[in-house]
Amino acid sequence: MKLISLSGRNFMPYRERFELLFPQDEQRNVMIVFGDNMRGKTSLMNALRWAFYGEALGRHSRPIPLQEIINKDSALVDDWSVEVHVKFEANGYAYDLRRVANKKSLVATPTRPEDFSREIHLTRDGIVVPGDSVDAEIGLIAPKQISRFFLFDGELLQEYETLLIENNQQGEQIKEAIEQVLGVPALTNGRTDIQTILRQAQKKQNQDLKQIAGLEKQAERHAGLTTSHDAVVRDLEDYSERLKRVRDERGVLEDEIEAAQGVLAASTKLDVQKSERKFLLDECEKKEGERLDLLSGAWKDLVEGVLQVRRTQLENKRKGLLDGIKKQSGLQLQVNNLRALLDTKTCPTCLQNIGDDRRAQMGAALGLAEVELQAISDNTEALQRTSVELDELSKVRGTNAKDRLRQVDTDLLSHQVRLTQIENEIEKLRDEIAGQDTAELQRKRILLNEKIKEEGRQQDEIIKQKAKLEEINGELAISQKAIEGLTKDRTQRSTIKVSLCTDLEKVFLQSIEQLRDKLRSRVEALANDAFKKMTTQKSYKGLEINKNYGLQIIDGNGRTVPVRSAGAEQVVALSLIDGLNRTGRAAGPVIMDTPFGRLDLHHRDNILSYLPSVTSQFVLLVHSGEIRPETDLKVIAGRIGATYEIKEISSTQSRLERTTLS
Amino acid sequence: MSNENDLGLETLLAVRVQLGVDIDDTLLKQCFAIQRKYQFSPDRIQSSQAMDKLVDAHVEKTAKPATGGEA
Repeated sequence: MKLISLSGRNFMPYRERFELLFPQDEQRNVMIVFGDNMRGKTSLMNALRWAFYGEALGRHSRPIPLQEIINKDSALVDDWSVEVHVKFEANGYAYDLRRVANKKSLVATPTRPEDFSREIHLTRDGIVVPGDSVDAEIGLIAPKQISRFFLFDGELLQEYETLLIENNQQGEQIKEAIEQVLGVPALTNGRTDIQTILRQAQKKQNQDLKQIAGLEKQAERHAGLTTSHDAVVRDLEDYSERLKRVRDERGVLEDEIEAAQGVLAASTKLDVQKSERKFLLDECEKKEGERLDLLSGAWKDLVEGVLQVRRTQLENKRKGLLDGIKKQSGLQLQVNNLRALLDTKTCPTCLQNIGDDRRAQMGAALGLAEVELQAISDNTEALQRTSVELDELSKVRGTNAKDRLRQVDTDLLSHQVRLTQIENEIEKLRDEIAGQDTAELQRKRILLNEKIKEEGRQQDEIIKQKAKLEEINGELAISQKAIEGLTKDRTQRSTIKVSLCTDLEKVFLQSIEQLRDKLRSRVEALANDAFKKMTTQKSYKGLEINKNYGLQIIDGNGRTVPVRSAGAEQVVALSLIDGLNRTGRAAGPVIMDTPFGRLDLHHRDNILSYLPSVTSQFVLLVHSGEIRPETDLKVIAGRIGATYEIKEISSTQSRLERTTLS
Repeated sequence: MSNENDLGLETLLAVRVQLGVDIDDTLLKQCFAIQRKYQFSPDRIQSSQAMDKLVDAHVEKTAKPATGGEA
């Protein structure tokens, strides 16, 4: 299969007509579409998926309702039509596939897929394929069941990595999906059809037997077994239906809980933000108070110069007064000593009499000291006054208010900026958690646990019913043999039919198992081949597949590699997908959406070199973080046949532009 | 189409021999052709009807010699 073009209008962000022309040269079969996140890369893949299978998929492979597929701006102006057109070649024919949906005339605003009328047109070499054969024709070229292996994204890669974890429940489900594809529906459906025909034939046979005398008892027993068989088959269908429903419900709950956990995280974040806001508001209040204090004392800086002069004066004065008081004390002591000497007339040291001459000198000295003492006035009071004044003036000091005010203003501004950010964040978080409630989350968790248990119960029941069915089938086979021996002309046809259908059913059943084993080996061989080309660790021997389609890396010594890096797991998953893709269909295009999340440059280069060689066309939908056009494409530069870029027109519209790599 | 369909028919024919079941080669091939045509069709009625018709035709052919052409 080879894609020629994909075009359309009103599909998701592509309101205007868009067109992708796929490269046709086998040597230049790589096409790269660059686009930032949320611009419409996945929408291109969905356009292809919608054209082929009538469905677009969102997260967790859930279908996107038709009314959501139509461009939002078009819907606003009541244009509810959408169209996708694919031209391709397959098995030597040229195909033209067009899928269109339009709002039904009586519907005002569509709210569900049923509000649309849908049309599909397929031509093969210009000849119209009848409507009821379109799905079967597409199924022959690009089966929907296998589409997940050639239209895939990072989410699928991640899903396949879970296969590598033993006893993982999701892995079990993927295994079932793979087996559905690899078991080849031609055989599984064939068996189902034969079982249906067999049941009808058995009823007819019972009716015929009842008409024959002597065979009533045998007919009755056979009819009883057939009825039991039908009842068990119905039960099995019921249990399978219930299991499917429970799984769907579990999926919905898991999504809701995942979303609600985001809400819970947002709620915690909101509390933190509120607490930071309170702290900042308190800080702002403090800073405002500080600011007012600084402003009210700022005058002190203005008078500081004058006050400093006065303080110096007062300090000098106080020093003078203190010196005077000290001197006065010294003189008073001198006067007292001289008076004592003159009164006693004896030297206090040697106890000898003091001579008159000496006493005269002392008298003169006393006189001079008394004169000097009288000249010194009592300055104690003046000293007290000066000290008080100095103390008062010392209290009035400059505060360097200018610099401090500047700092306070800077702090305030910074707090206010942060407050604005927090307010915005709080508003955003409030919007996020509006209408949610944590009690609801708890309720859903309990419901989810119950669904998981319910799933287990349904699976157990299915196992029991299958065993019961096997038992009844055995008894029916014995009964059938007995009837065959007793058969008369009248019952010959119905007996032959039952016998033939029983044999056919046996052959189909056994073939399914054998074919699965063969295909599993083929997947292993192809995945191995892919892994060896894509891994950077050349010492690895290869991959080994287990019954769950999990792949283990085997090292050079034949041992399983127990711990793998995230990048290695991605390469293993990619190898498995490549193996499944090449097992499930003939070579065709592979379209990968944002696949290089965790890969290093060498692995990425290996993948870019390998995949174009095993596909008819290799289309990569990438963002600039994954591949830088100017440096990262050297390894496949010669194989690139077309490049496009998704340009943003608005948040709800994009357009495709063909580009060239510089 | 791809090889797995050939592998599917090959397996059917081989299993028939393994089980020692007496089913005509052509019938098995015709059954497989119907299933291959409708293998990915969600509507199972067409394939089921085609299979029923095929089985009836085969039964008719098998029953005829014994019944001397009874309808």
